[in-house]
Amino acid sequence: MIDIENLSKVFSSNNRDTFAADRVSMRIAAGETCVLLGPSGCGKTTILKMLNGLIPRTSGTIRINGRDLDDFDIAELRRSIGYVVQQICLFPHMTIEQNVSIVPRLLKWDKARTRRRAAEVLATVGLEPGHFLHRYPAELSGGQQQRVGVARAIAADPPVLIMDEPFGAVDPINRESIQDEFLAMQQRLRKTIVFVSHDIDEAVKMADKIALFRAGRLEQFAAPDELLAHPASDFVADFVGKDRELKRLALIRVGSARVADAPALSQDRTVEEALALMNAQGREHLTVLDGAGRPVGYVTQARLSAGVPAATLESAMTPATSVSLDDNLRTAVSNMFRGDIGWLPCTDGEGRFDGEISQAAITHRLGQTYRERR
Amino acid sequence: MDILTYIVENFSTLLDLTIQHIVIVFSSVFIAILTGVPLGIIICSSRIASRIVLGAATVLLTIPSIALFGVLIPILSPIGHGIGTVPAVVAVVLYSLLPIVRNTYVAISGLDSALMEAARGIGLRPWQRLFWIELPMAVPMIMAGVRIAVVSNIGVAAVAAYVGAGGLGRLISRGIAQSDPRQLITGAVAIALLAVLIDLVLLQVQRLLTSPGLRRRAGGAS
Ligand SMILES: Nc1ncnc2c1ncn2[C@@H]1O[C@H](COP(=O)(O)OP(=O)(O)OP(=O)(O)O)[C@@H](O)[C@H]1O
Ligand SMILES: [Mg+2]
Repeated sequence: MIDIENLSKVFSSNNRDTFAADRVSMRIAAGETCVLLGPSGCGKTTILKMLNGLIPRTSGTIRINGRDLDDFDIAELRRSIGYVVQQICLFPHMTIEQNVSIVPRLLKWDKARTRRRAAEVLATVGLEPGHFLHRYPAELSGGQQQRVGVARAIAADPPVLIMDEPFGAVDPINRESIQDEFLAMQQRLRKTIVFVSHDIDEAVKMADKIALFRAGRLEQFAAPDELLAHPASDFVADFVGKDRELKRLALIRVGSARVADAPALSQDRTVEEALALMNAQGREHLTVLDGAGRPVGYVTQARLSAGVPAATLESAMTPATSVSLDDNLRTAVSNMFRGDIGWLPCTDGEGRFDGEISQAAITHRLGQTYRERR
Repeated sequence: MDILTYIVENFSTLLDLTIQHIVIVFSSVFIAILTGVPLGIIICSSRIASRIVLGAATVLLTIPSIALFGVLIPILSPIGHGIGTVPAVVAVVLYSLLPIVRNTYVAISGLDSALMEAARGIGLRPWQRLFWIELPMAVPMIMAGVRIAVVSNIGVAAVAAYVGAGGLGRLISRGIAQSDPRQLITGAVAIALLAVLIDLVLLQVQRLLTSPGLRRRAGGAS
């Protein structure tokens, strides 16, 4: 757990004072990812570097697991806080293996374990160990170097990670995948992470909590959905963007918005049975399932009543895509747009039909937070 | 032809003088490395100290070697070494200090500050930063300074023959005294060749000591 209380940092140069941090208070729970977000120069890096003592505080306190930063042996503390530097900063005279092994070496791990770990963390960040271990930083692209920077930070398996724009030099496609890998890793390891970004989408994706700064002041400290749905100020609203409701889509699981009691019938049933079921439940459509209970298509009341020359649903249905309950609403909406349809069948972990999701249900789910506040 | 005969007839003397020459230069430069590198590191932490030390070393270098030997004789005589190998070694050490201290200082104070901050940030203590990061990265520059020191002091050591030190300078001083062009030319050529050869050897040593990760940059720095 990281406790920040009334933290301030004033830089004085040329008789001008810059408040890089202005009475910032926040608490980052153990196992949580907190993203420090804000425009360039708002003090994100400064706050991050105060956490590992690289920048001395002007005032305020920082406690890590209840212990004041001043009470630590600072070098020892830093070894337990994985640090990804904004400028990457690999050591040019060391091989990738040596760079990644540096903290394990400081911690006096034995050689075999250090070796194994170096290969392991390189693989974690998506770099083939056999290809990279013995190369030098100058032989790597910027994006590859940045991955090594992340590998170096996680090598000694520190409980806390502080990362300054760790994916800034990676191209958008690879960034997406390294973010996913990182999220999966975090799911397993549950580290306490402070992560600097100036990209709202990255923040929304990675964060349990977002701390949004403006000129050294903490404008809002909240969970991503809260920040998007209830921006605390005009500045926050502007920063998160006019499409903030769309960004919320990525945060909500399909499972939490789906309609559970949706009608469905096996494809070997008749058109009459389908019409009867829709009439009984007052529905316009139903999902058609295969023998294993997986959605394969849909039929609508309008089309069936117009008279279809088919006995079973298998030949009467229109093929349909589905969406998993674990997907997010953004994926669901995207699939709906692609299929030009207002709803989709949902599937459980085994691919079996489990309710449906509709645009109305999504709107309702997004609006929930506003109804609660009224 | 005269010269060749001279060389063949006096080959073992020539070899002795060459070895003496090399010993004087290398032992002095070795002492200069042991003192100059730490000095160069220490002055990185203080602007004033670096100005004073680099200034003093520069002044030393401007003193002509003959004059320096003149000054050293009365200083070293009380300990019985006003003449001989000792003043030669002292002079070469003093002349070697500037390139070594200066290059050490420039290399280490010029290291990327973000890189050094990263080293602190991941938990290296000052000594670990020095031996794991700063010195290995400074090696190409420091070795370039050492090469300058060695090559330029091969000439200084030759002058030291006038204060009774051994080495190839003997051939020149004797050649002048005895008006013997054979010794004079043999000495001068031998000294020049020695300088070129040793520089080549040291260049190889520099390459060996430089991490392959730095080689591309080192090409520009030295
Ligand atoms: N060493 C320093 N001396 C003086 N001012 C500084 C110093 N370091 C940072 N600042 C100032 O403090 C403010 C915050 O800087 P900081 O580097 O924390 O910004 P940031 O949010 O990380 O920006 P970016 O997104 O561009 O990395 C800026 O106005 C900057 O100019
Ligand atoms: Mg920054």
